[in-house]
Amino acid sequence: MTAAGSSSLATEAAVEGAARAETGAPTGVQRVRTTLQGLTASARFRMTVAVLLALLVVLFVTSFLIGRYDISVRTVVDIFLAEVFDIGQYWEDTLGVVVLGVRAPRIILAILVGGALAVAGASYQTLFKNPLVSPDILGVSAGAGFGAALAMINEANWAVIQASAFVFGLIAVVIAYGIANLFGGRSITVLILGGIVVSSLFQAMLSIVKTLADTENQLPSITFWLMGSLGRGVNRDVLFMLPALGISLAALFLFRHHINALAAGEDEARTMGVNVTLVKGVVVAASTLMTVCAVSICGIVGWVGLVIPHLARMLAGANYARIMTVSFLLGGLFLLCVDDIVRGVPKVEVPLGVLTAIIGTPIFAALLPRLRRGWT
Amino acid sequence: MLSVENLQFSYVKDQMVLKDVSFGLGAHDVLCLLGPNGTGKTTLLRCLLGLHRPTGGRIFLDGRDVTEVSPRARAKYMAYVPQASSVAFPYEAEEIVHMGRVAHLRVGASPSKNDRAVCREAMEVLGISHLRTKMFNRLSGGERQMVLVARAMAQQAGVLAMDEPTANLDYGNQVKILRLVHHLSEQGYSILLVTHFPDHAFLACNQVVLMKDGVVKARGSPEAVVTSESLTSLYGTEVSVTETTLCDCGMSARVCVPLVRNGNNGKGP
Repeated sequence: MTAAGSSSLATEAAVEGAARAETGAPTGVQRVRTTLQGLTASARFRMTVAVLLALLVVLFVTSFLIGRYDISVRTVVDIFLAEVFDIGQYWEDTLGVVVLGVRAPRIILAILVGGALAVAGASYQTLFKNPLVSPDILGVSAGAGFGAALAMINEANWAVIQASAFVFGLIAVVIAYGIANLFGGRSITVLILGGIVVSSLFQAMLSIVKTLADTENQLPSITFWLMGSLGRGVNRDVLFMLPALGISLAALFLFRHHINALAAGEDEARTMGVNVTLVKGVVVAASTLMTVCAVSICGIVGWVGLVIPHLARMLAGANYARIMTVSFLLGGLFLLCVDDIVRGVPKVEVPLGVLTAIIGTPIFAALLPRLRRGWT
Repeated sequence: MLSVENLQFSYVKDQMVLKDVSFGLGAHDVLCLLGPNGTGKTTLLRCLLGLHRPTGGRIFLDGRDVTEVSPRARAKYMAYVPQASSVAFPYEAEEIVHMGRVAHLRVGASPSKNDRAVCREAMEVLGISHLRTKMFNRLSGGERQMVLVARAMAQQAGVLAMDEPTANLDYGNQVKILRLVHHLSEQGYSILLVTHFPDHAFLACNQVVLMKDGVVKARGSPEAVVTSESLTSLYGTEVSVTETTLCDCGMSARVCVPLVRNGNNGKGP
């Protein structure tokens, strides 16, 4: 089958679909859409969350089956249960280590990182009233990238690399926030501008570090880090990420309706009774903490934080109180999906951050007509 | 309800935007704030709303000094209807109205049944219940303005500050908004209306403040304050305020007519 042939098939399908739409017989998608539109916003939200949760559970379990060692769902479940209950071990020791020490942390981290980046993106987009903003708008990624690279050329071990990424990620945001508060009259535009300036500063410094790195080992590992990977995720990372994520999500949840009001603009939110300075601080602190944890664990994974919030809005409307939850589930689901593909492709490890964009962009383009409707 | 005493404000030291502004606003009052561009009307509004911190003077709401209270406390006394508003995301009209309840929400709480009922009622009163699930950004200018008024009403504050609510609206919608202003004042709201149309003073207001260069030039009832002389000096262009009898019903009304064709007395083009 040639490319032309397959594309003409696709067109036929489209024509058929359009014809059906005209004659009034609803297609599956249309039927779902009409059903969804008939529901109240909160019912639609609850249904979306239920469906996403179910998908996440299914994908979570099946993700354990991917990899070099074949294993059945039953064995996976038993390996987990054996941690708590007294179950006779019928599997090889290696299998236990693979499931609990390799696959489990990686799968859990994919969900946590994807969710964290998506929520951070959703929060910033609402706070800045700007659909183009992503979690690294205040310089986290650039700072962390510089920190990681700096540690790498000093032959540091993985823990130090992570710590260095974490610290420099924080430093970048503190500088951006400081610039805005000291010189910008606390203006949100100046905050974004500060972030962009700090980002380019750290990117410049990263370039310097790259020129100093040896081209045999250090430069490739810097480059690979900048493209993101969950390949080195271990249980310690999960234990590190969980509390940070918990605190951040709790803080954002407490202020969810105040953050939502900021979508009307800083001034209007203030006249509605929102303590803008406080809420802005909460959003920046929580989003930064989540992003810096994610980045220091798995390097720079783009796309998720920018686009997932838009997909969440498409499903559940613009209300921040709702898209916070939907973004988390959708982000976790998406990154787990992508990382499963990374793990599923044998021998080569495609960088995670590259694959998110390669897989995500067509999805985004396909959904754009629906998305755009809400923007105009 | 609202009283402003000797309010002063400057963005830059020694350049006073508001030099000495005092006025009062009682329940059921509609105060029309008139003045040329760049005269400090918006700055005054921003000071009242707590978006600027006054450099001098005091603001009282319900007898309480609110010059430096928290946004939350102020929002319970005074709500703002902006000239136009847009949101970056696909919000439904009702969700915009819900935002007005945020001052009444405890941190962490979800909107209660009561909160939702208040919003629904505000939309019903304004006759825009049918817009509830419509996308705010796709509404017409007039409909959007109504949603913003509903949001301000949902805030349940006694004073409404409206910044040129009829700008960008067609003639019919302008009249609709003025009727609404009148109706709201009958309900007990005190309304501060910033406008560029002196006619609004006669149509919907019972108090007028004329402002120029950061000071109050005159204040009082529309009939006393809005005259040919005062408007001519306020806007620097000749305006005639005359009384006219409306066609059939025998009612009379005052209208402001700028002299466009022969009114520049040889000054300027």
